[in-house]
Amino acid sequence: MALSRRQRSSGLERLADEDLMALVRNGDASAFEHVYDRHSGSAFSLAYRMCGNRLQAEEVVQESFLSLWRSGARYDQARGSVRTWVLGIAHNRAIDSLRRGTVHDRRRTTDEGLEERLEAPERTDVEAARRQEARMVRGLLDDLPREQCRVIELAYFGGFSHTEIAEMLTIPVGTVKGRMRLGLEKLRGRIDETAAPVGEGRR
Amino acid sequence: MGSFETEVEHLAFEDDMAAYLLGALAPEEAAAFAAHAERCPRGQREEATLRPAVELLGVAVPPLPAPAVVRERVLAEVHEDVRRREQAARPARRRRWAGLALPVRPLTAVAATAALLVGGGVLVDEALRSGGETRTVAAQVRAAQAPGASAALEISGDRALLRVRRLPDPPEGRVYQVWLKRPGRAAPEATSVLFSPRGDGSATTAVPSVRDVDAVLVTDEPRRGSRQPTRTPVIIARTS
Repeated sequence: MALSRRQRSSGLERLADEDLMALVRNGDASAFEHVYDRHSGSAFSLAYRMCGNRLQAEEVVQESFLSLWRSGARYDQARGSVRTWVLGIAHNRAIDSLRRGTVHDRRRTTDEGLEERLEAPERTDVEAARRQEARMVRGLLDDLPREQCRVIELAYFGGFSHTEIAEMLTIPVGTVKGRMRLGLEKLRGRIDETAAPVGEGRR
Repeated sequence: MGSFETEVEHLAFEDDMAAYLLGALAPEEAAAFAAHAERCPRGQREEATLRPAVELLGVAVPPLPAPAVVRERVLAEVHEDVRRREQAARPARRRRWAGLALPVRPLTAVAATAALLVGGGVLVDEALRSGGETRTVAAQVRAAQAPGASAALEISGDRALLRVRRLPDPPEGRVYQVWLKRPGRAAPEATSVLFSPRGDGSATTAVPSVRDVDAVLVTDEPRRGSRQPTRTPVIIARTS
């Protein structure tokens, strides 16, 4: 390499996510490091919310990013930002992880006070923006009719299957799925209204 | 599989799509649903409608940085992969190749394809995972589909890693899918592990669990995977 490692590294910093992913696909470990640094927080945040404990969330992040690195999976720009793609992988892995445990484990809410311990005292612009974004989406969810919000939360964050949800709420499976669809359609409607961009291509 | 005959049926499909996108279908259901939805233009439109809403949910969580130890672990494995890849590329480390003509052992469920398999080379790969014994078994590769490719399964306890070299890209619009063959069952079990090789044909894939598994198979399937294999396996790795 003609460029020094440091020079090359700062070049990578300026690349958009999509361009970094092209390099990652060809086995570029430095490009991968940048992707990791940009998106590991999002993945961990979701995994921790779903798993409720740090160890399990760490494993999910590890598996997600190693899968991203090793599978050579082609990130398809047409399907959204790298961030939402990473979140999709992490979500799938978290669900797998939750389903490997027992249903009882999943229902137990663990509070390790991680938020207090991990929150950095310095609040970067990115963190502040993320917090704002989380609040906004949380608000949209809370605006949904309660029964729709509930099934979506149990499925997406709880990792429960539709049959499990049906049992838990003692309602038919068809009703569960119907509420999921209605809730997601409503959310989609709100998205279109507010035109809120999530996880754009740049940092 | 055709269009919906009634509005009721289509609403049911849309409901399934919502459950699918939320991750609330069981794995077999999800694979079957994805296969169907792929062929249905209305399904693709429905997915395009609902998917952004699902993606939005992923950010509705308190933001936390990932603990530093995760970065260390991930990068350690990444750099190890790079090191291994560079070593394998050096001519000094010659891989003993199919010239050894390992005997072909037909599997019960795929006996018909045995004639098409050639023994994979023994990979000179000294890397062992730290902590716990790892054994490596060479996999059989279907030469007609993947000439010059090789694969090996590294097994440590119940977990396994499938390492593949010089695997061609799957056919257009398709992806490689991992299957588990269990004793006494004719049909292999689908996993959600889908992968494509890197530019140089290499790929490393984690196999969820090889407990009670005779063999790990790989076939090429439609983009989102299948419930049953639609092609002859390109890779077969016996676990014993």
